[in-house]
Amino acid sequence: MQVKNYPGVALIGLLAGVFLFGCQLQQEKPTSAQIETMGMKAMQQADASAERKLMSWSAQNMPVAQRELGLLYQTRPGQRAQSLMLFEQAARGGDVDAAYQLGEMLRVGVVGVTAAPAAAATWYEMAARQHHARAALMLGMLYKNGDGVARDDAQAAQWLKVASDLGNPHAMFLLSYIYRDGRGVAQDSAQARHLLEEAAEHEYPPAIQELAMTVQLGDALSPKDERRAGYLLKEAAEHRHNNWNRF
Amino acid sequence: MKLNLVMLAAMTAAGLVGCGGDYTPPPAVAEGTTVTLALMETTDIHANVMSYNYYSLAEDTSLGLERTSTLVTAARAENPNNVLLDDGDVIQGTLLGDMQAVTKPIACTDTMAVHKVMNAMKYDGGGFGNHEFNYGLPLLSQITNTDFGIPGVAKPSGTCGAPAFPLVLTNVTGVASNKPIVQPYTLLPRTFTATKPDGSKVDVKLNIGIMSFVPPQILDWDQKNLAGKVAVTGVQEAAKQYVPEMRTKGADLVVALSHGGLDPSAYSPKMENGSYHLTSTGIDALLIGHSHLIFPKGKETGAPALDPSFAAFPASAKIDAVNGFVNGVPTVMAQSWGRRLGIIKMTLVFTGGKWVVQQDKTSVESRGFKYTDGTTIVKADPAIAPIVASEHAATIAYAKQPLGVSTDFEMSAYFSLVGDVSAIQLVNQAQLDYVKKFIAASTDATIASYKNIPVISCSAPFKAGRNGPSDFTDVAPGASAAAPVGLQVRNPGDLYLYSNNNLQAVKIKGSDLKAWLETAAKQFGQIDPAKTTEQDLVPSYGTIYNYDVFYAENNALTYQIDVTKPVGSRIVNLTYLGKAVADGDDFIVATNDYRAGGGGAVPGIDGSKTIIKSPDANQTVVSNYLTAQGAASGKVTLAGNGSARSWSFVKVATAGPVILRSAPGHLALAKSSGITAVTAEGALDASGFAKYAIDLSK
Repeated sequence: MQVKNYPGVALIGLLAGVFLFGCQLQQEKPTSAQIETMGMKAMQQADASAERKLMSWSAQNMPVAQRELGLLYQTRPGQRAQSLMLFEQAARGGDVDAAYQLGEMLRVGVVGVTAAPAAAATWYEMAARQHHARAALMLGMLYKNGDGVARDDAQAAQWLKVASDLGNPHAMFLLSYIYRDGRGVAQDSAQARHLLEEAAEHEYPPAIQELAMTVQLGDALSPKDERRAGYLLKEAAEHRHNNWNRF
Repeated sequence: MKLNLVMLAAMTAAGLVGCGGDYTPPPAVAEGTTVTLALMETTDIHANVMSYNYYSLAEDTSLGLERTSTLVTAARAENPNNVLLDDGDVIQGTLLGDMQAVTKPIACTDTMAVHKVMNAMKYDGGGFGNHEFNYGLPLLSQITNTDFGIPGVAKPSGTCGAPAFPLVLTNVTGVASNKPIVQPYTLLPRTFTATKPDGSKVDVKLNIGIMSFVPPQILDWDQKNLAGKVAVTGVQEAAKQYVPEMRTKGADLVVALSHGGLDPSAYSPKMENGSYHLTSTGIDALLIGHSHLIFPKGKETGAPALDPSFAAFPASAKIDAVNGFVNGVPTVMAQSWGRRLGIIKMTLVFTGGKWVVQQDKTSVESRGFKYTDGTTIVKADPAIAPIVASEHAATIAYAKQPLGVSTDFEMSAYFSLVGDVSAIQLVNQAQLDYVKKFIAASTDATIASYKNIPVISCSAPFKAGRNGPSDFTDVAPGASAAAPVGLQVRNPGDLYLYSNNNLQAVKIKGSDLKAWLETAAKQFGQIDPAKTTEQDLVPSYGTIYNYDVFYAENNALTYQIDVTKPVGSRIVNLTYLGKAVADGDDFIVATNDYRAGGGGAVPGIDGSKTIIKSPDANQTVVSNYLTAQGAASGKVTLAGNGSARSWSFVKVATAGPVILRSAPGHLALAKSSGITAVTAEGALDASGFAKYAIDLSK
């Protein structure tokens, strides 16, 4: 447990710690958490010095800094090109989230720039192969819908499974239907229900609703449980304020 | 590394200004003295004060602070040395909370009902949750009587009704002030009874330090309320900043109220459930919440199994979900809605001039309403209900208040599966109106560029026989042009059943629309015209919420369903503005988050085509639309809002009877509404549904 020092000793220890931290900032590479903290400062507080710090770190080829700067530029329509370039640099430098962000920007397109789902698929795949859950989800949906890639139910199921295994509830939910209907996988009702439960547990709103509807009536896999259905819907209603743009 | 002494001196001075003045040495305590105390936690109360469900307007004894209070009384009797703390998400979640914050915001002089009860329960301290920001900063400032120091967010002058206990928030700062918007921590000085080494009792003074953390995602979820006004620090950075300061000021215990679950993956200041990473910052106890789970596993007979998410943690994470330790730190989560009380009981020994926690004498419990014997639910504390009696009654009365609009037609779902749209068209009109205005007003160049794409809407008969013959939407029974009926506040909830849905819109192609309609048409059985025996038009109502009915302004979108064809090839004559819909045509569809996010497995509608995610509930959208109609004309009408039948059956004569099961006694309504396919009301089936004869040739 906590070992307590006399206050004076604690103070000196604290100050020494702060001092060392300051020196390290000058001489050693910042950690990812430190760069992200700077990114949050730049984004949340429109802090120009934090943005300059990110620029300087980006110029030193730090992928996390390039990604954080890319995220900042992403919010400014005029800096789309720079944002894309930074994400690409970061992705090539090994930053997985940057590869995903690149996929997101390319997939949808904006005014004057057509959507490029095929190009997006490449970046999603790069990120998905390095265990980025949302990238795997997006890639799975591209295969599911034949969007930018040839429609392929088996590939869709496989990538959704990657995302699901990494804890993405949206993928769990889509995969539950895929098992229910046996599309690209062997039909498996029990696995379908397990995934629906998991997706609801992880608060994917459509999954909570689907599960509530299911247990309200009950079926061979889930007993009828009206109280549980009521709780699920209550939970979903309460959390809609924070789940509206979360997934 | 060589120390820069000038710099160190400067920092020491700065540190002393901040924290040196308050410290007073503890009174002499005999070495070996022990004190046992309990830290009690509630979390995610979500405005569940009474054991009551405002949606069903019925008692619900499984939740509510009036019963938590009974748990607290018992726990205090067991543990005379105690503090009661709350981990946030207090004010929002029930109609009571919405009413006091939005519908009829309370005055500065008033106190939120939930806070009144918490004051009566004598809480010692509280933190914040993400939902505290749902109603915006000005209201939060008022009901906590706190000046956040944020430009443009003025607290009403004078002392506003607020918690009588201190609130803390450690990782949120004002953008302009760069200072915490609420005190980042506080020390609760408490006098506890301790035991001297000789066994005699002695009073000792302990300082219990509390801090509180919210997920950084509040800036996404409540963007509208918070962007540019507040900044959020990662939980670990914030803890590392303040824990040493609290120690310096004399905290004997440091307790983190962390409104976030346990995620042992690598730390990032952006992570939502960062509580795990507080365990390495020097805290003594961790009170968590946000994910509404029970941690550790309940001790009562028949307690629910441990949540699978806890069982899935790697052993290296050192999470003991049976005894309640995370990385060696005692940790509790008390579920939600007041259903549990977290109790961390710890013993400290005065050793070497300070209080040292004895880990082997620490026990953790997440105690529920049935803790006594596994079956008996604790009684409500009779002191609670009188405190909020008027607020409780006002909330129930509110649901029955006039909405300010009347209807000249009965809005029902009895015959919505044979073409009646009287309970659906208004929902579609409201959703469509919302999306058109959203696009017109959008400052996002991409969204704005969609303004020439047709907007259509879909909604389903949600309440249409799923739960038996009495489970049908029927608003304003008997309403007519001669005798219009005034709508009540609760009626939008009858028209749009699911209060959890948020409005969303998807951008799709004509081919997607056809596939969508085919999916909806799966609700019909395949009718064999040659069969002479009885055939069910709708064999089951189990997934009737997937029967999406589409609508465009002026009924410009129409389609027919051929129920004699197999699933997947039933939609014919799909036209928009009189022209056949082509596969490549663009449409924007107003719908809900369930459908847009993949619910019902409509091909291609899986979240990838969503262009608008609204924070507004479909139910609210319907309510606002009705209120606007009321303000404009005082009424909604059958001609304008209930008779645009966008779909019909392909006509076919059948050799035998085709039936629709619905609530008995409504043949006259079908006839007066012009639903000509309904020709007769037959006998009741075993479940009590009447079997209406359907003539598909009409």
